Amino acid sequence: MKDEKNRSLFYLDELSDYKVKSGDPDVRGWHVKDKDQRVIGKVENLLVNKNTEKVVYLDVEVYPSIIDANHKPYSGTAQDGVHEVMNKDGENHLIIPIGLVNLNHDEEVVNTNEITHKTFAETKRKRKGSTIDREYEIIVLDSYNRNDTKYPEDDSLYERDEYDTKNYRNT
Amino acid sequence: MAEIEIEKKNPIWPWILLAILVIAALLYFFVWADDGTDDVDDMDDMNTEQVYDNNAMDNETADYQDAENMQYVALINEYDTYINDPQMGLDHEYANGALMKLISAVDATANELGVDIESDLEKARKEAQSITEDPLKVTHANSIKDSGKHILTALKTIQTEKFPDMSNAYSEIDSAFSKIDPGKETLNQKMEVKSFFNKVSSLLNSMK
Repeated sequence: MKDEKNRSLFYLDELSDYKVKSGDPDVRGWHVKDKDQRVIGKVENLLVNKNTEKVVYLDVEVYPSIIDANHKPYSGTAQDGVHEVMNKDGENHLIIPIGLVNLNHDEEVVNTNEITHKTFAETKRKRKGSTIDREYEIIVLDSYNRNDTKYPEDDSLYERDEYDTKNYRNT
Repeated sequence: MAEIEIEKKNPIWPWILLAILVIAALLYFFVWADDGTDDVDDMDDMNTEQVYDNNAMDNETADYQDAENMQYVALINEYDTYINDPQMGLDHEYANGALMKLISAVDATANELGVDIESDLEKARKEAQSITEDPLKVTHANSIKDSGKHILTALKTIQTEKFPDMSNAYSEIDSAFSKIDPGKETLNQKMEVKSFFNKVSSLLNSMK
């Protein structure tokens, strides 16, 4: 885990001297839909990599349909020793890698064409505004990918397809 | 397209600095600079303007006074011309015209000299105007007597206030006026009426 001084992921509203680039969409407040076009929540914040000046994750506040499903979070290879960790009360936010979404500008909707409602419900959540560390990032990636991928510890993680918007759109 | 980039906001401090500089510049030009050496220039400007204004006022006053002088002299001359016009018969119409012109000439003379005789002349005007309404006044000299007594009062006021050495001239008018009989037709006392108008003319011309 990186310490506070070396962290590169920030909520956009933490960076008072930064804003969404002119011409790019500010998706905060947009609804998020799953693979089957069910609304699972809305974008509340943007997680940005200050070094690359790009949005890396959408911070989504999920709606009760996800919470009420009461699924146990998916435990993959990265969570050795934490298999029985459940989502707790008040943990109603999750993150979605930017490469896993498409934007509908006309309707102001974020579509997640590969992620089902069940997958969202089985993804480990966090509290609003919690610091995002590498461990949580890998738990989320494991939940969405459901394979035995070994993720890099450094920022080369963000060179993966989950963060490559061009690659995602071509699939 | 899902790629979203961020960028640094334009810093606001250059705008704040610019605003402060503009305010400072305005203060300098409109407050501090004006309190400095510019005072002398301002005073000069004011003096110059004042001198110019005085001259202008003097000229305007003089022009105005000239115009007034011209007016009262012109009215006296008009009255003289009227009473000496050989084309005019010495009838009631002539008498009425002479009275109206005399009133105007006396009024202008009083204004020129700053004497208040307006109430007397107002009464004289009313009497002169009533000539056309009263058949008896049309034919008889009482129109001249009724209106003339107020004109005489006005002339006496002017003479007493402004020309005390002309009391003899006024006495001659008063004497001529007393010889007009209000009960007789104007045509039957031509000489008396003409004498009255002539003596008033003489006095007014002395007052020019």
